[in-house]
Amino acid sequence: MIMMPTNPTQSWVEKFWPAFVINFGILSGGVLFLIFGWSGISLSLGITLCSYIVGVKWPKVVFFVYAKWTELAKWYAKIFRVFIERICFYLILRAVGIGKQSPRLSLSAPSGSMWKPRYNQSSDSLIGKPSHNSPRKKGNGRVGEYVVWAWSSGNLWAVWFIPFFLLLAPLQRNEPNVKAENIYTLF
Amino acid sequence: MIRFVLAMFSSAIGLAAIVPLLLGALPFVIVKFGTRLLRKFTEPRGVPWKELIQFEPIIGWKPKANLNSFAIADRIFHLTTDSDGWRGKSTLAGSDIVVIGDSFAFGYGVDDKSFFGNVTSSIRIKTIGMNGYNLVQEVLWMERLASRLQGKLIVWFIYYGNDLYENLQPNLDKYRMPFVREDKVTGHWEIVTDHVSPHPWPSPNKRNYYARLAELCSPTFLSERAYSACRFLISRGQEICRRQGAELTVVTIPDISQIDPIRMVELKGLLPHSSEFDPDFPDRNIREVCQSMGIPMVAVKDHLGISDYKEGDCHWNERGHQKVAKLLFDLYGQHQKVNFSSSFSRPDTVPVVS
Repeated sequence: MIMMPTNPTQSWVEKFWPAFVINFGILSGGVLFLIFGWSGISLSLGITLCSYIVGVKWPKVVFFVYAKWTELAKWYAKIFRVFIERICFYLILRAVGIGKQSPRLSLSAPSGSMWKPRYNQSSDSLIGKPSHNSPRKKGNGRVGEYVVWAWSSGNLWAVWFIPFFLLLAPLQRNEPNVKAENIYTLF
Repeated sequence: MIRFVLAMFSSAIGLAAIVPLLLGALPFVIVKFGTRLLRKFTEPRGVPWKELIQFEPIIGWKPKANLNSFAIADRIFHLTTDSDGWRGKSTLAGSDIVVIGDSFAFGYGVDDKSFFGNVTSSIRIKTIGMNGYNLVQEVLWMERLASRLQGKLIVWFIYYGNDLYENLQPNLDKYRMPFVREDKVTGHWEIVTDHVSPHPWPSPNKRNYYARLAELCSPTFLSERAYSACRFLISRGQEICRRQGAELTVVTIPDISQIDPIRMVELKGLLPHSSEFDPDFPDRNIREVCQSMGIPMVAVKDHLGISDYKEGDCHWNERGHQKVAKLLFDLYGQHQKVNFSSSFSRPDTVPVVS
């Protein structure tokens, strides 16, 4: 939602600069308008144009600004994430706990083992095949599945977490695993 | 029901509390989506390199013929290929120099107009190369095209970033590729191709090229095998060229981490014993191999610098391509001088290429 690639391509950085400068121009225009009126807008336009030219002339400035902007976005996303999690745990769950209502989820105990039997195939035939997890039902999004679960398990109050889950999802960032591999194959 | 109502009111309070943070996130959202929009409307749609290739028996893959396409590197770039699938406006028959290699020979990342094979009209350059090629595939192309290489200057690009390591690998991601294997009894190397087919390789593994490059920059088990395999492949290439009366020159291409002091520190840190790290170790080994066979060798690191490589991509930028074109022009000039002098007398020493 707010985070940019940490390893951007050249074209991504090139297109970032006008978008950033315009955004900066709009914000500064608003602030300067409040202070100086219409002349503030002209000033803001001038600053925006100069900033754009600086970036075009000195690309290293753009890379530097991009790196700092990405860092700032990461930091902001982290704060946002923590805030949302705190609201879920300390506001909603606490509120549900008022009046001695248990916030525990009503879960029915499974009647039998949750292990699934392995298919009766040899190991060789499983090589290269996709894993045999049960496929998700076609046509149901995750939100729909969650609502269905909340209703069917008697935990309908849990649907009020959905807006926060929807905000949390784009704020999570899965960085690629860059752990070095120390194994190589000998042929 | 009570829990539902309590959760509803607390959720509403929570959402109201989030509003200032949402407003604060607006600049980040605007910049991100503004960037995406600008890219969408100002750049042509590029295709990844894997859509530029088709299966080629024995060799694994080759570029598609008659392409007129935009590809994705650090930016979108325009490329065309001829009826055989190779880049460069010259034909193989009409060329003065044939450059064989991988994505560096293909000129990945720059438009046709900036590609080293096209920037100079003083000499005609034809490139035989594609992304991901190892030296084994390049030798096989030399064999296949041998009759069309007669009397030409063959320039063989060797990129240290992955070529030496992948000579020993049967696959590149899902793509099967020929490799070399050592017979432990006889100590001879052989090219293996019988596994090459259009079927995906069943167990592609994620490669850590920089860790391997660090090993190749020091005396390790991997580097010993890699340079031994390289010696075998270069001798094969030399033999093909000799039979056709072509002159082979090896041009070694460092990864930018071997010439950039900052990145070199990171590369060195990948080794358990960093005291043995030497960024010139590959060049010394390849030079020794070439000298033993009388093959001229040029190290690109003596001609190009950090500013000739792209930011965020291992390939050359437009300026780097200009310099490579000049280097090839100089090589051709030396090749012509050697040929001229050899028509009068036999040279006593290997041509010195600076």
